Amino acid sequence: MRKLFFLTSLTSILFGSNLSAIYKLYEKQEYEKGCDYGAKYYSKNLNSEKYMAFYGLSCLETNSINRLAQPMVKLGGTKELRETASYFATILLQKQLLKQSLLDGKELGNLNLPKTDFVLSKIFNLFVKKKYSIKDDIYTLVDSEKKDIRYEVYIKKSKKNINYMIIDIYHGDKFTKRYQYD
Amino acid sequence: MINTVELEKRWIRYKTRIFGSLFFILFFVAAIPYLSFYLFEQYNLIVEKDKNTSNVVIVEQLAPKIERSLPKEINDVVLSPSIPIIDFTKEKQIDREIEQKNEKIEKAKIQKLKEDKRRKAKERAYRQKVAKRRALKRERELAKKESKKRKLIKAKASSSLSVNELKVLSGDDIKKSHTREPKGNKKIDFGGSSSNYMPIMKRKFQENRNPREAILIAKAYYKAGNYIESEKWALTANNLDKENRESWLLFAESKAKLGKRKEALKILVSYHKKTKSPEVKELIDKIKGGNF
Repeated sequence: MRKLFFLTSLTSILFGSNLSAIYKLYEKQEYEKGCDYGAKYYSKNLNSEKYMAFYGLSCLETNSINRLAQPMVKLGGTKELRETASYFATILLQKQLLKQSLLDGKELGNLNLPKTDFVLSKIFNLFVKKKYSIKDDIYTLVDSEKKDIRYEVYIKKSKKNINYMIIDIYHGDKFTKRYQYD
Repeated sequence: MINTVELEKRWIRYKTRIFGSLFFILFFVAAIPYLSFYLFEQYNLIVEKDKNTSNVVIVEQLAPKIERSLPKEINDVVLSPSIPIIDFTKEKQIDREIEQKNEKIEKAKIQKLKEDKRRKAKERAYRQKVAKRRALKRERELAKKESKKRKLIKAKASSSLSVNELKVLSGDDIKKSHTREPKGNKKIDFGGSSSNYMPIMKRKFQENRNPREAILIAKAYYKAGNYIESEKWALTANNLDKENRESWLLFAESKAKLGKRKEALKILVSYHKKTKSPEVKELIDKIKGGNF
């Protein structure tokens, strides 16, 4: 009987609705867990667009931008979800273009991509408008709205020879946050 | 005196001015539709999707002009994500349905496992039964062969036979072996008529692990007065079959014989509580009365 109870409780955890589980993680702001959970049960929830949306949003919060590609292509059922998909796609594209430009010196010209509230997007728009100064391969950009916020963008090579794009955020002279994208 | 030459000159200037202005007005009036038509055509070329490459060239040429003419806000697309709304009552219902489904699956699995276990146990029991039967058959065959061997007596080189040998030859023993013993409780003489009884029984026990054989060995030792061995074998039989009354009695009797009366009584009393057997009660009384 105990064995039966154990088995049923275990299966209910394992086979319960993934959507409510991922939503609860997102609600609790456990984005890291939410992103991993989303990736884990991705193939099981291919038809649930809401699940995909939460998966993408959780990954976005943890700056796992590369993972956005997976849920992005599955969104498109409603107007809102289509916009969310475009939002993910824009951020992913901006990251890729920015990294390409930093690594290969690729000119971005007068590229005018959609604007988002994401940090990377802000930096990208400043970068396209060439509102930066370069010193020792570090691009320094000043936020267009809050002048005391400064971004430093540069490429860092890891021990495994992987190029990471680093974004350091400064409030005045105080270093506040670092984002690292592979 | 009126200067006619001067007047004529003024007249000509006046006329040319009037004609000039009239010509310009007419020119502009005529040019406006043409100009608007031209601009409209150009605009169409830009706005509409071009169908051939020549148009693309025109678009490329006109692109900077258009860019200037179009409002800048058109390019500034602002995107923001939206968090999907979840109907939790519906989700809970789905959860419950999934849970029920899984429970059913699990129950079915457990049921199947149980059935498999039962079937395997049955098969095992059947196999054991068959193996036992075979072993018994083999033993019987061996016993037959041995008895046949025993019956045959080698003729002595000398003609003098002992009294016993003569008895066998006369056919008394053969007759005895062929005639069946009367039915009832088979009494085995453990006194030592068969010297290899114990090894055979022990071997048998080793093969079959039958509690009945362990009891027979214990009884044999008990009759022979070897109470230590009898106690040991009674305990072995008891370990194999807890319900066997004989093993309990033999164990207690052996203990009593070894002088461990208290222990023997303890065992018997506990066993009597379970079974309420009169035989056990009798033995308890015997030990208590010192008649044992």
